Amino acid sequence: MKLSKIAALFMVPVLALCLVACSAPSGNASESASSDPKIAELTAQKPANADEAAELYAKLMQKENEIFSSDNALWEKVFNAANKDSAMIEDGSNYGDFLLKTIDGAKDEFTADELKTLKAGAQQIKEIEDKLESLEKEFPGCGSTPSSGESVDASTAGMTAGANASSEATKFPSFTGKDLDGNDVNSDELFSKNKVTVMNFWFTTCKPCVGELGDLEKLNQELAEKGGQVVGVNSFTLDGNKGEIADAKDVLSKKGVTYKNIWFKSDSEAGKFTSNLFSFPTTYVIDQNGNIVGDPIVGAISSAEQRAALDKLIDQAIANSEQQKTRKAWRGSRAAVRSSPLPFKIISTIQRSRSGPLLLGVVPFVFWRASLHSSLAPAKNGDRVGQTRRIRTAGESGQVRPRGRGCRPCWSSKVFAKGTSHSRLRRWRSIT
Amino acid sequence: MDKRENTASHVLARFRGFIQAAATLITNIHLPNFAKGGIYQGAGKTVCVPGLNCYSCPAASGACPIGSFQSVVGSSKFNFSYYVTGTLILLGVLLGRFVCGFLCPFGWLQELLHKIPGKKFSTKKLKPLTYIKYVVLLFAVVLLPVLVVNDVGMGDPFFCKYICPQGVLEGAIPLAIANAGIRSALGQLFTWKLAVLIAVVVLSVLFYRPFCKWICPLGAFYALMNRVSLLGIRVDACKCVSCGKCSKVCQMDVDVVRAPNHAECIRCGKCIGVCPVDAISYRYGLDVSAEKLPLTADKK
Repeated sequence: MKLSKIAALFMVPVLALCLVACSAPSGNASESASSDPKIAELTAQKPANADEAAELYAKLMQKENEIFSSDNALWEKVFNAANKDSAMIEDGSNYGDFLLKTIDGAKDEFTADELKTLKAGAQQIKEIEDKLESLEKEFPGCGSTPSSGESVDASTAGMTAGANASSEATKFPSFTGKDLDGNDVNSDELFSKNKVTVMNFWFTTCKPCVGELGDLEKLNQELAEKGGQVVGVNSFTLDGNKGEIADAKDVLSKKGVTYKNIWFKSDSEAGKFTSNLFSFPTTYVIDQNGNIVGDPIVGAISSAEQRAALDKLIDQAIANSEQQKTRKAWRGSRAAVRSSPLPFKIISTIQRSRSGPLLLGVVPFVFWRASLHSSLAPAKNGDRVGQTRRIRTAGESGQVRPRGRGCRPCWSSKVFAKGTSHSRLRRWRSIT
Repeated sequence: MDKRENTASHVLARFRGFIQAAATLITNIHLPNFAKGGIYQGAGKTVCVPGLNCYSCPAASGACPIGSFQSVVGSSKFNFSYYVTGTLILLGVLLGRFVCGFLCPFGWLQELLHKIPGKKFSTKKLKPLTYIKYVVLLFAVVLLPVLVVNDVGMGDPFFCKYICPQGVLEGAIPLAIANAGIRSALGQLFTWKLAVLIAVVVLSVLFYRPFCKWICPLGAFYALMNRVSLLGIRVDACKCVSCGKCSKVCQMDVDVVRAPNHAECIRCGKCIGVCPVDAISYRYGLDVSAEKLPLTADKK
């Protein structure tokens, strides 16, 4: 087989492998596989002094963050399913064990592949945590001194940003207003007192909005047990129009609604936000920190799918509020990570980026096309070479044998014996 | 050959397609909103447009008269809308079904669909179906939103909710494409309305303006006003040679010579273009007493 064929055939699986292995967020089996030997290598290191210990500590923290950020969405699910009992966190048990327990508890939420990834990740975290503990014992303070108070590195920031990005860290514009009974209301107090706030926008003459008020009242009672609340905003009552407030209260009492309904000024940020809505009813889910979680639910929540979407958002908001507590507890006990070394940054950026795989796929492609260059792959019978075509030879020896007349197709004026062919690279007059 | 009269009528009839396109554009002027996934909510939306054009169309510059009527009448406070009905009566008297023929976007859509080549069927034998639109107007637009109410006294806009294909075409589909929240709210009702839209589209290819003839409540209202409208069609009895070409070419199945201001006539002007003796023309005005004009066909 010629070199060109081999080269081409070799390039194709290499290209395919690169594209598969490097596809950004999900295909990270390769990454966890490759980090395993690295982790093993790191855990095997025995630092000689406090500085090296601190360095190793930082590297291990870096690794842990990479494990989380490589499968952000999956780990989010795990955190959501985590037991909200903070007692488990502070009793000194290994974080990796805690994660493994949570994954086991929630194993029906994941597919077999996801479970494998998660378990592998949790196992690695367990190893890392073991090593970190032993480092702390040997060199107490190596975890806390170097980077406490330092700015958090790109990957942890990226991870938290990733967590928030999935909940779209858009904050609901803060406002001060009143409820329909005239009591003052402040957005910070309103949100921070509850793990989740379901904000429903409606108006008095909107039939679907009024129709779902009963369901919202029921939801309010359910959420009260979980530490959440429903808050209504009637867009007709913005600016405190007394007539509209009276109408709204009338409708609310007819429907048996007890949860708070508030209004604020229409030229405030929140007021403009409300005026930009054109679809009613619209429901936003807001977590304890005032961040909007996910996309708004447009339309009444009475249908099953909308209700399911709303429940998902509520759970996510509760988890977000919890997660901030969980992460803070853990990260408080460990130090913030120092900036990761540049090579790690480059590789992880390429692997996480969307155009990374494209770039990495370009290289084998270029090699393949280059392999087709004439100097690497000499022309064979019938091959087109530029605008010419290699004529069939009689044998590969390239002998020129006499023919009966000149060769019309290749304009050769040599007279050859009839019945023989010859080999010349010549411009064809008409090649179809 | 006689000097050609009625040039204004001929010009109007010839440029009807352009006028329809311009009217559709003016009724839907806020084109960038298609990309934004929201609708225009400014002051223009308080005015009703003459044709059937959904309020929820991202580009819509005004409100749909049928939709506005239903939303006012369906609210718990009111049972009748003077503003919308008044606007409709005004347009009916000033223009009558000229709106249908020249200014309605959905009518234009149906005509464009009818131009798609294929087998075309005549609706001459389906005349009884034209009464369905009056039933739709009476029940879906006027009575049901008033009578079928919830515990707070609010009714649904029945025509908009269950029947109108223009709402799906102009409102639901563009908004669902650009707005994720609305996309996730689509359900069974959307499936039904989409089926209605597809049915109307298919029928429009086979028949001429089936929605205008058989279903449109706005067309029904303007049809009622057609006989008292200031804009009408005049057939000069002196010139008419009773060749029958006008009635043959009329796609709304109107006998032009006998009843040029029939409820079904959308003033498209095809009869004007085809009359060999130029007997037919548009006429506008109150001053059409019998003494001033020569005897016309519809006065007989």
